[in-house]
Amino acid sequence: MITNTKLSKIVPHVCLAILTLTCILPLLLLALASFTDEQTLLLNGYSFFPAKFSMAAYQYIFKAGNAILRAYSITIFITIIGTICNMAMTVLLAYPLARPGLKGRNLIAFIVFFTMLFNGGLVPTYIMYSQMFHIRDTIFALLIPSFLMSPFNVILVRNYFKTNIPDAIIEAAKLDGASEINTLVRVVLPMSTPIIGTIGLMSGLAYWNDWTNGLYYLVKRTDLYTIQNVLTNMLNNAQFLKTASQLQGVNVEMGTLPSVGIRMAIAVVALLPVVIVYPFIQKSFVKGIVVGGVKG
Amino acid sequence: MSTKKLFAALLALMMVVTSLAGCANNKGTSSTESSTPATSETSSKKEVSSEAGTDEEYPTISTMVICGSIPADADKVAEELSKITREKIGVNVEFVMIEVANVATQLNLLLSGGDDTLDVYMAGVSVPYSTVVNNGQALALDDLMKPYEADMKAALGENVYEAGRVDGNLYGIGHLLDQASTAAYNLRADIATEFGYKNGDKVDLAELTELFSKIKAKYPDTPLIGPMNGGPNIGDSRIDQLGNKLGVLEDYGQTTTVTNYYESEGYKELVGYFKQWSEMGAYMPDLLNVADAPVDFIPSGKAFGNFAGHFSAEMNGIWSSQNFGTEIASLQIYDDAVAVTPWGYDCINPASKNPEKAAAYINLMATDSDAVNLIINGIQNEHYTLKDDNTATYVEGKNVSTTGWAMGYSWTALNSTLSYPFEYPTDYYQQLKDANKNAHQSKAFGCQFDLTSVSDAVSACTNVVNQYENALASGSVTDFEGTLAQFQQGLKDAGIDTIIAAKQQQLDAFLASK
Repeated sequence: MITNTKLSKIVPHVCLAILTLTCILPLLLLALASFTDEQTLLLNGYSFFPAKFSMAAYQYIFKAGNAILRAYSITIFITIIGTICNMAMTVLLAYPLARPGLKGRNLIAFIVFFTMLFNGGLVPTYIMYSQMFHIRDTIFALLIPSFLMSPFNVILVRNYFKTNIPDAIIEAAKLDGASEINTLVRVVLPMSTPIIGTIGLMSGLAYWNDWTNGLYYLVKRTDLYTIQNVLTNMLNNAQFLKTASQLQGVNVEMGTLPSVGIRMAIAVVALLPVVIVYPFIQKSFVKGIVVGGVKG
Repeated sequence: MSTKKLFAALLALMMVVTSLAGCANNKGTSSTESSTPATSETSSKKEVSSEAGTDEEYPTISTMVICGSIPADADKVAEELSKITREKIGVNVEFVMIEVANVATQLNLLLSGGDDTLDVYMAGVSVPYSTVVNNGQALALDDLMKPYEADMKAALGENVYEAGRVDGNLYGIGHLLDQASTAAYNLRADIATEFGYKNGDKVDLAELTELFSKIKAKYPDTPLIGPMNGGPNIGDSRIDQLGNKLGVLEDYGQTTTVTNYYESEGYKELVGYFKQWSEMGAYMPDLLNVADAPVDFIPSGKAFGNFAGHFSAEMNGIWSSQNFGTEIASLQIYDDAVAVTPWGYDCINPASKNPEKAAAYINLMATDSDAVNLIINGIQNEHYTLKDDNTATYVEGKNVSTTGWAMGYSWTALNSTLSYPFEYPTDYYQQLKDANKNAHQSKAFGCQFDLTSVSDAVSACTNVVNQYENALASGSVTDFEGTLAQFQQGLKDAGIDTIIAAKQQQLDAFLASK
C-alpha cells in the first residue's frame, strides 16, 4: 500500500525534523540574541525576529587588546598543542600495548586503565600538581591535568590496532626491513586515520570546553584564562550575586559584568569553531568509535 | 576522513591563532604576553627577579582580594601599595585576585596541604568563618595581634574586634561593615515625586501598600516590584538572622531566646502584605524567572522599582541612581535595625611563612588610611580623582567598565571607613558608623555559631526555605495562608527545631562566657 509506505517514511522524517529543530533553534536564538540591539533585548526579550540588529557585542569582543580576544587565542593555542601531544602520546602508548611481543603489557594496560575508575580526588591532585610539579599559574596547568592522556582513548586505539591491523602486514613491513618506528609511522598510522581522527576530535573538544583547570590552577595568572573560563566566571559571578543577597552590604558593581548581548556573543564565539570543525571529522568519528569498540 | 583533511583543519585553526595573535600583538602591553603563552611563564619569572634586585630584603605578603571581575591594573595597585608597606612594615604586597564566584573552590584549594600561596585571606564569602576555624585553616591571632590590639580596637570598635573570638581564641579580625541593614524600596524618582515622596523618606509597610495602590490606580499596566539579585529581595530588619534565618532573635535581637522566624507574627504580617501586593498586581509577572537586573528593567520602564537592603535608604538611593542608570528614590521601610555579628573576617593562613608580618599588614589595613584608600579606590588621578569635598570619583572619561581598578564600596576591605567615599556624599562612612551605633546591638553580637552538628537539618531546611520563601515574597502563589502553613510544616519536618536548639545552646554558652 502506497499510503502505508508513505506514512512510514513521513513519520520518522517529521520526528527527526522536530528533534533537529530542538537542537538547532536554541543555537539560532543564541546567535540572533548576540546580534540584537542591547536595548531591544532588554525591552522585548529574546526573539527570533529581533526588531533591531546590532554588531556592538562583536565589536566589543574583537577590540584589540581585549581580555576576551586574548582568552580566545589561548584556548586555540592549548587546544592545538594539547591535542597534538595527546594524540602522539596515546598512539605511542597504545601501539606497544597492542603488539603481542611486549612483555608485561597486561600489567601496563592495567595500570593505565585503573586510572579510569580510580583517582586521588581533587585536593590531593591539586596538591601534587601545585607543590610537586609547580605547574600552577603556568600554561602547563591548562595542558597537563586531566587531558594530556586519556585511558579511554588508549583503549580505543589499542583495540583498533589489535583488530584492524593484520599481523601479516606488520610482519611484511619487518621483512622489508622497516624498524619499529617506521612500521608505526609508515604502515600502521596510515591505516588508522578513523581512530586518529576520533581521538583527535575527542581530545580537542575536551581541551576546548575545559574550564576546570583554569579554575583550579590559575590563581595569579588570570591572564592565561581560556575563553571557557571567562564564560563560566561571568555566568557564575552573575549567579553568585543572585544568591548572595543574604550577605549584607553585597552591592558589588554589577556594571562590571558584561551585558546580556556580550554574554551571548561570547557563547557564540566559543561555540563556532566546534560547529565548523565537527562536520569534517564526524564521519571518521563514528567509524572510529565503532571499529575501535569491537572486541576486547 | 583522510589525514590530509585533518591536517588541513588543524592548519586552518593554526592560521586563525596566528592571525588573532597578530591583532593582539599590535596594541597594549598586556596582550603581548598572551599571544605567546608558552613563554609568558619565563617572562613573569624575569619580572620577579628584576624586581628582587631592589626589594630583595623584604618578604612578600600575599593577600586575597575578592572582586566582581578581575581589574586590569591589579599589579600596579599592588606595587603602589607595596611602596607604603615597605616603608611602614617592611614587606611587599602581592594580590591574589579571586572572582567572587570562584572563592569557594579556589580558597579551599589554596588553604589545603600546607600551601603558602596566601598569607592573608578573607573568610565569610562562600566559605564561612566558622568553617575555616573548624578546619584549622586560620591561625590563632591573640599573640600576633597583641602589639596592635589597642589601635585595632580603636579603629574597628571593640565589639567588631572581639567578634572573631571562637572558644576564647581570636582567629580572625572582623570587617567593619554596615552591620545594621534595613529594608528599602527603590522607586523611580519621577514617580516618587509625583506621589509626594523623595529619596530617604521613611514609610511603613501599610503606608507603602497605600502608595502602591495609588500608583497602580494611575499606572495600571506597570508592575511595581521587580527582582534584584534574582529574587524579591525583601529583608526584615526586625530580627537578627543569626547567619541563616533558621532560628533567629526577634525583637531587634533584644531577646536571648532563639525562635522560628517563619512562625513569628512579624513574618505572618509580611506574608499578609505579599498577598495584598499580589492581589493589586504590584509584582512583575513571573518575577523569580526574570533574569533582568534593576539596571535592565527600571530605565526601560518594564517595572517601577524593587526592594533592596542598605544601612541607609538615602545612601541606597544614591548608589542605585548611579548603578541603575536612572534617578532612584529609596524609601526606608523599618525605622530601626539590628546590628549583627560581622560576616567577613581577615584570617592568616597557618602555612604563612611570615605570620608576624601578616599581622602587621592586617593592622595596617585597619588603621592606615593611605593603604586602605589605595586598596579600595586605587591610585589617585589614575583610578580616581579627588573632589573638593574629599570624595572620590572616576577619572575623566572612565567608567566602571573601563577603569583599571574599581572596588567601589568594598566589603572586601577590612576597614573601608578610612577611605574616601567613592561617588558618595562626604559623610558616607560617618553615616555608616552612626547607623551601626544607632542600631540595636543584638544580644548575639560576636557569637560564632557552628552548625556542623546539625548540618543535615540545615541543608534540609535551606531546601524548604528555597522552595517557599521567595515564592511567597514574589507573589507567585495563589493561596498564601495555605502555602505558609505548608512552609511551616515543611520546616518542622526538615528539623528546624534541632537547629534552633543547637543555636540556643551555643548562644547560652556564649552569654555565660561574657
